[in-house]
This record gives sequence, C-alpha cells and structure tokens, in this order.
Amino acid sequence: MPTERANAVPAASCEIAPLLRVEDLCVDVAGEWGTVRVVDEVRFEIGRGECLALVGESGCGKSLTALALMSLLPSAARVAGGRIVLNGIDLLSRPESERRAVRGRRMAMIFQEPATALNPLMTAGAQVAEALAVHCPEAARTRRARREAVLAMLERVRLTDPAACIDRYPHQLSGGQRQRVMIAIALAGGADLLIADEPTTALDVTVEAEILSLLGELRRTAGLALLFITHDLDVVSVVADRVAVIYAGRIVEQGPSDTVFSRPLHPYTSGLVACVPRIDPGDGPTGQAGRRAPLPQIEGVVAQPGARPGGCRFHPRCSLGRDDRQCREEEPGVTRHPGGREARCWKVEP
Amino acid sequence: MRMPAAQSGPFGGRAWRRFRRNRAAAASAAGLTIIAAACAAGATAWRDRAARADLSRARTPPSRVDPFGTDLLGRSLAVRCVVGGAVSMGVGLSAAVFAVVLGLAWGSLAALGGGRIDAAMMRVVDIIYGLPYLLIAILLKVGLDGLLRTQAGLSAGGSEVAVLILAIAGVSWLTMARIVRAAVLSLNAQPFVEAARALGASPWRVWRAHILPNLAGPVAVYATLTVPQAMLQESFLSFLGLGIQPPLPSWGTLAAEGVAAINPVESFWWMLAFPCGLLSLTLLGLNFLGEGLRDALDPRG
Repeated sequence: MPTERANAVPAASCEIAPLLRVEDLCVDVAGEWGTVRVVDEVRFEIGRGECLALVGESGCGKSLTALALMSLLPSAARVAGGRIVLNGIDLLSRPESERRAVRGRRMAMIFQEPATALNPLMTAGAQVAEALAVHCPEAARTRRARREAVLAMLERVRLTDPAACIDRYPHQLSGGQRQRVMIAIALAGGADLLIADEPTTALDVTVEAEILSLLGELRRTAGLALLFITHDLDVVSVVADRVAVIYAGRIVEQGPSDTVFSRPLHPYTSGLVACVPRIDPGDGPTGQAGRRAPLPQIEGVVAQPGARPGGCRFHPRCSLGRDDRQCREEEPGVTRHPGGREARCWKVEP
Repeated sequence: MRMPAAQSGPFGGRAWRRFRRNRAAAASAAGLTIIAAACAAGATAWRDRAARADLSRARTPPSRVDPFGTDLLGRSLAVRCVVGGAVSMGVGLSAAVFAVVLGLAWGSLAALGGGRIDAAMMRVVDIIYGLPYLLIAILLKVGLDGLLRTQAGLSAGGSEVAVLILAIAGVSWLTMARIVRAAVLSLNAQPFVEAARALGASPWRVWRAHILPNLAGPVAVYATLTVPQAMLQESFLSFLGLGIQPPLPSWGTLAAEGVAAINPVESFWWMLAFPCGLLSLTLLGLNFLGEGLRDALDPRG
C-alpha cells in the first residue's frame, strides 16, 4: 500500500469549530419484517478542508449515512435519532425547505456511476447550466453569460477542451470526463463540503488517479472538505487525512489514516488491511519469496441488519472475540486512544 | 466519439431514420396528413354546403357531380364526409389531448406522491377502469350537459361537442395514467434524478427538466394510440345517437345513416362504404403511426 499522500492537506487545517459534526446518527429502514436500524449511533467530525474517508463493506450503511446527511433518504428509510450539525446548525431540526436550500449550496454530493448519474437527454453544458441556474440565477441572464459560467466551471474541474464538451451528450464523453462534469455540477453552488459516494469505483486506475488528483487540488485551492465513501483502502491512504471504519452500521475505529492502517486497533481493520492483495507475485503475504499464498479473508459474512449477533457485532468473525464471554454478551463502547484515535473493542488496551 | 451533437441526441437523426425505414408508418404519416389537411380545408370551405339539401337529387349513386353520391336528403356525401371527417378527427384529437394531459398529471402525482396518495389515486383509476365505459360516457354526458349549458353559456351545438369531448376523455385517460405512473416510478429511481435532487433542484424543476423529457417517448406513443381510440368511441356514440347530433355530420352519424338506409329493395352502398372506409383508413393509419413511433423511439432499438 502506498504510504505517500501527495494530495493530502496537512492536519493543521482542522479548526476549532468543525464544518460538519455528526452525533449519534441513527437511520431506520422499514422492511417486510419490521424496522431495522442500519446506521447505529454514527459519530464523526469533518473540519474545513479536511478529508474523512468512510470505509466499509457493501451493505454496512455508508451510503445511507451520506444520503441522510443530504436529506435524500429513500421513502422506506428515516432518521431515527442524532444530530447533523453543519456550520453550527442542526439540519435535522429544520424543515425540508431549509434542508433543500443547503443541498448544493453548502453540501454537495457526487455519485458512483457517472454514466447513470447524468441525464442522458441533456448535454453536459445544459446540466452544468441547470446547476448554476438553481444556485446563482443572476449570473445566468444572457446566453453568453451562461455559456461563460459553464466554461469556467468546466475549466475548474480541468476538463480538456471544455468548449467541445459543452454540447456533447453524456454517452459521448469518457468516464473520466463524465465524472468531472458531475463534480462541476456538484460544486456549481459553491459548497464547502463534498460527499463523494464511491466516485472512483467505476473508473479505471489511471482515470481514478486523475480524479483523486483533481479532488486534492480542489481541497488545496478552494478549501473544500471531503467525505469520501469507499471500500478501496488504497484510495483512502492516498486521499484521506482521517478514516472511519464502519461495520454493520457502527463505526468500529476512527483516526488518522496513516496510523489506522499501519497500526490498526480493531480486529476488523486489521482483517481489512490484510485482505488487500499485493501486486508482486514473487512474495506471498508472509514474505516468502517464490510462493503464491491464497488471499487472506475475514471468515464469515457481514451480519444482516435483521439478524445481528448479540454483544460485539463482529465477534463471530473475530479470532480474538469468538470465544470470549465479554465479546459475546456485551457491546463495547467507544474508547479513546492517543493520537486522536477511537475504537469499539474490548480487546484493545486503552 | 466525434459525432455532431445534433444528430446523435435521442430524438435526433437516429430515431428519424428508424421511423422512415418503417414504410407502413411513413406511408401512414403521409396519408394521414393528406386526409387531415383535406378535411380541415373542406370543413372551413364547405361548412354550409354540408347541410344543403336537394331532394330532387336524393339517393343518387356516385357520379361526376357528386363523387361519393348523395344521401337521403340529397346532400352531397363527399362534402359531408369531408366535414364529418373534420368533426370526427377534431373530437378525437381534442379528447386525446385532454386524456393525455389528465393522465400525465394523475400518473405523475401518484408516482411522486407515493405511499397512501399513490394507492388512493390508482384505486380511483382501477374503479373507473372496471366500470363499463359506455355507462360512464353516458353518465358524464348527462351530467356535464346541463352543467355546461347553464354555467359556460355555450350554444346547444357547442356544448354538445364539448360534452362529448370531455366524456370520451373521461374514459381514455386511464391507460395513460397507468403508463405514466410506471414510467415516473422507474425514472425516480434513476441515479440522475437523485443527482438532480442532490444539487438542490426543487421537485417541480426535477419533474419538468429531468422526468418529463424522459417521458416524452412513451407518452408520444400512447398519445398517438389514444387518438384512434377516441375517434372510435366518438363514432360509436354518434352511431348510437348519443354523440354528435344531426345535422352536424361525423363519420359515426354518417355510418348510422348508411345503416338506416339498408333495405331489401335497393342498395345504397355508397352511404355506408365511404364513411366507414374513411374511418377505417384513418384508424389503421394512426395505429401504424403509433407503432412506428414506438419502434423508432425505443432507446433499446
């Protein structure tokens, strides 16, 4: 795993009052067999210009957390508790019209699959123009003003040949270009916080590197804060200052990304780190030259929301906690550790 | 990809070329335009001639003077067919427009409202769907007739046509509502609609700029198929004497007169053949047109 973080912003950018503070957020989903809590007391903070990565397997609740922040939860899901404090205002206590005013203007979101996240019937330029029209209607009075504003946005996201891209439909653009257009649309309102829901998962590696570099540059030049949701640990180490690991709806570890991955506290985090495949075929994971060992896995499967184990949610898959009475029966609370780290585990020494 | 943008949009050159290749659809489009133009022109020019009776020339077969022959009262059938065509197509088109607008609004509101609103609105559709349409059309006609005459102050003839249009629209909007609801539900789940909400667009803007254009395909197809349906219903109601009243001609009333003239002594085939023939041709053309549109606009094609 690369250890350099060329696109990271130094930690000193965190200020006293964080831009976003999420406190004990709970999201319930109504299903056929009753209501299930898929996001459970999630708590994190993001400062101005900071990047927090939210990491976890599929189905652990990271996307629902993002949608809850944007008040875009599907009808079957609702926020069951907690606070979402953006710039000192608790969004959950505000009416829907205020929350809609926040979307795009203070907090924006980009999605995983740029091919489907752009309207196939509108040109790229028209979609950026729409975003501008929603947030700065005065700047879009004349056609020329609109076109110039759109061009400026597309240049800001470093799109090559923006004038040609304006009149192209999404299916005529490459994956990287589409993702840049989506970022341009998201930032048209001048948001301070960008929530990126697996933005590079659908892109190939070289394009992914370009997009990550673009996001890093936007953080440096515009002080953009980033909530980066992903299941790819390599991307996290490149782009994020801090990382929060989610398992079965709960954050099990949180801290600066370099220390969380180099010295994980929670067994799930160590398992995730061990799962990342190494590219050199010569060495196995144990370092023995010339042998290809099978990929290590974490045993078992993620607990389904309706059928979570008692005690620590991870204990059935944990080598330390499988046979431990405390792990089986009592759910661990959050313990703080030096270096700004937290973990939910009975087996970690404070 | 360096295609010029204008040609490669979803409604651009590709769809048009597909449409033109479907010869039945293209021919229908051409034929319908001719019929519609002829009827529109004829109706304005010959409005009074349609009622001009000349008993000395009653019941004459097609000749050079009267290309379609004359009817019981000596009125030129050709003129009456042309004017009747304008009436039938006008009623059919107007009813279809109302039906499309109502179905679009109802289906969209149900799909976007969700939950109980959706269930209630679609229950209404299901109930009306289950009733015999003739009954509803008659009830609507009886109910609206008095209302329109007193409130809107329309003339007797005008209110009759208006009521007929509303009655036909009142039974034709149901399928459109169901189609629109299904389409809006599936569009709502699309990532780009979610992305539009995420940038802060109001629900109205999301519907107008993102959902509505994507509805244009299915709506256009079913609108084109609603017109022949409405025309057929108008003809049927007029045939039964519940629609257009004489002396205003429509293809339905002309067919009724043709049927009434059937007797074992003498054949007045032209009185039945021409109105029914024109009606059939028009309906067939509209159906081909609708199918051609559906094939051309199918994005998977």
